Amino acid sequence: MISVKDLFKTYVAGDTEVKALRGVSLEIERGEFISIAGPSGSGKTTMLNIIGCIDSADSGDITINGESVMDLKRDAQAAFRRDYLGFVFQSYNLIPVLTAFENVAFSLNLMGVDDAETKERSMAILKEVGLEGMENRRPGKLSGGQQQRVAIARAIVKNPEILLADEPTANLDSNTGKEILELMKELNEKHQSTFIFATHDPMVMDFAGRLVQLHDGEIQSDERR
Amino acid sequence: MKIYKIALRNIARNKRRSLLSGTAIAIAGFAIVFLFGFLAGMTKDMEQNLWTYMTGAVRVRHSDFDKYERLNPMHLAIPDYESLLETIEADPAVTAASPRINFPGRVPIGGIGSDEKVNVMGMGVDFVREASYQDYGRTLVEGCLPEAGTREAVIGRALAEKLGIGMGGKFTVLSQSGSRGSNAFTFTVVGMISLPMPGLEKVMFQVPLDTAQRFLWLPGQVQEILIKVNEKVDSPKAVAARLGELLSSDVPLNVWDYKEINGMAAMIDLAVKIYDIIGIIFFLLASTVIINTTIMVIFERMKEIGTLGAMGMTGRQLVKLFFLEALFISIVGALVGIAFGIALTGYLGVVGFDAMAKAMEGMDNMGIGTVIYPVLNFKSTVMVFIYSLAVTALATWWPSRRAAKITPVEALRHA
Ligand SMILES: Nc1ncnc2c1ncn2[C@@H]1O[C@H](COP(=O)(O)OP(=O)(O)O)[C@@H](O)[C@H]1O
Ligand SMILES: [Mg+2]
Repeated sequence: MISVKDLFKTYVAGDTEVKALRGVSLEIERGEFISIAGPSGSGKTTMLNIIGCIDSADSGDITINGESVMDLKRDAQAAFRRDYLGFVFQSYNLIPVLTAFENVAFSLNLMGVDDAETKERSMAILKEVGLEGMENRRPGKLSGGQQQRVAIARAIVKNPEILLADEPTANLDSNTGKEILELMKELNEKHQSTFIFATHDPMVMDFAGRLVQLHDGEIQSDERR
Repeated sequence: MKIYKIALRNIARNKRRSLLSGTAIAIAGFAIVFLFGFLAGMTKDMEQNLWTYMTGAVRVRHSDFDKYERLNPMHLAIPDYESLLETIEADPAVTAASPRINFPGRVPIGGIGSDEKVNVMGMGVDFVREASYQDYGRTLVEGCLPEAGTREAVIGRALAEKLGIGMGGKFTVLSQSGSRGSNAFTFTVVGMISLPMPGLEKVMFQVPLDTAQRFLWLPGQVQEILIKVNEKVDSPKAVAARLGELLSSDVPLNVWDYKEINGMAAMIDLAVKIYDIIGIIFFLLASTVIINTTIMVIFERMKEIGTLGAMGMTGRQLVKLFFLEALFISIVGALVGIAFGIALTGYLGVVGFDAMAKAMEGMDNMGIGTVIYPVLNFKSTVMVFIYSLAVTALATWWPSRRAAKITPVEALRHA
């Protein structure tokens, strides 16, 4: 269970201050498929980054399974991300010199999983995301949709506690976007990971099991369906 | 996927830039190996020339000779030198000894009364013994060595040209004798010698020792004994100290090693240390290219740094990724550069390097010849390799650290 308590975050750029988050609180159950929606600039990315331990809040707390992750040291944060979190980015962010298989396998390598198991799990997950036969292609030889599938495979292969996706379909056409969402939904049900994604795409919101609307750094509505 | 494998693949991402970085290191490695080889060759050449023609590794003289050297004190000679030679040659580090008399003189051109005179330097040597001291096999380019007791001479080819005489030609030398009187002797040219130092070749002729003794009124005496030493057995300095204790004569003796005699030879030791520092500076300069590349690479791959950080790679692992990439380039660059350096040094070590002949001409009195044979030194080459890796490793580690300082959000925002 993820508990977000009273997050505040203000960016200072020169003379201007931007209040990106103003007291956001949220309880998320394990296995939820939750969409953080809201217009551009409403604070979605900021919130995701703080939950993902790659950014810090000015105040507030985040506990995951009862443990606070806000005060971890840098290396401990890195280890936490490695072992418990998976990220999917808007522009896929695959490592260009690695093949699809190696991109996926690398997240297990970092965790210290042995080679045999890494291979087995990576191949299985690539098959699951529909990339059988393309394991040895580098990202440059894959379409946008295929790259995002590799990215999802890379995030889900380690069975993370939480999978964070920031605008995962924004760079894809609507059909491909829909396929990606269906894939994520399927994986969410199968792998029991909590999926949190930020979006301003109405179609993505339709897929969500729970829709949290952000506006100017505050939660406007929070509905389960 | 191990981090080093990703680093290796990253090298190929921008081939031209990797090539440039590697080339910079290679050029430094090449230049340093060659420079060290050249210096070693020059030092060896200088040592050989000094030892053979000027100071020996160790030199024995009348102890007042040096004080009055400018006045040509022919009378300050060493009597009974044969017994000294026995003691000297008994020393285990001594490989050869040459008793000699050097005498400055003038040769009038076109008749004894001519005003046009050429300065010459005569050397009286025991040719039987001398054959193991001077490498006549290389220097005697024509004719043969003089017989003892005759008025035969071998003469520097350049001096012969200057005097306008050839094989069989005669020349008359005016000199000052050991009894401080003047004397004139006429010699017949039986051989031509070519010496590594042109300045020396232009003045030198050699005559039998006993003839010189007669000519200079120095019966049974020599001016100096030059000694060559096997440095693997003992240093010239140690041999000089040892012989200084052992040798005794009716006259007081000075037994000095060549570094005491020739200040330039002593300077070489210092120069070698300075060249070591120049070597390091060379690699630092080459490293600026790789430092620059690494900084650029880190900036360009910001998105990846952010992604890898989000995936849980620690700062240390990220530093390793960029450090290894730069290090691999450096290793290959250094190996290639050093290989080329070894090849060129080895080649010139055989055929000789005379590109600097003009510059070397003035260096006669330092014993540096015009043709240098660079010498490869295994130890110094390995040192160059270790140096180059240490310096470039340090230089690449420094910018690589930046990769650890950037937080994933900052890095991702860059993209
Ligand atoms: N690094 C930053 N420096 C200054 N302002 C920022 C920074 N990142 C985000 N912001 C501002 O914070 C607000 C929230 O941004 P963000 O979380 O990216 O919103 P969203 O993802 O919903 O578009 C915006 O007004 C944005 O301009
Ligand atoms: Mg955003």
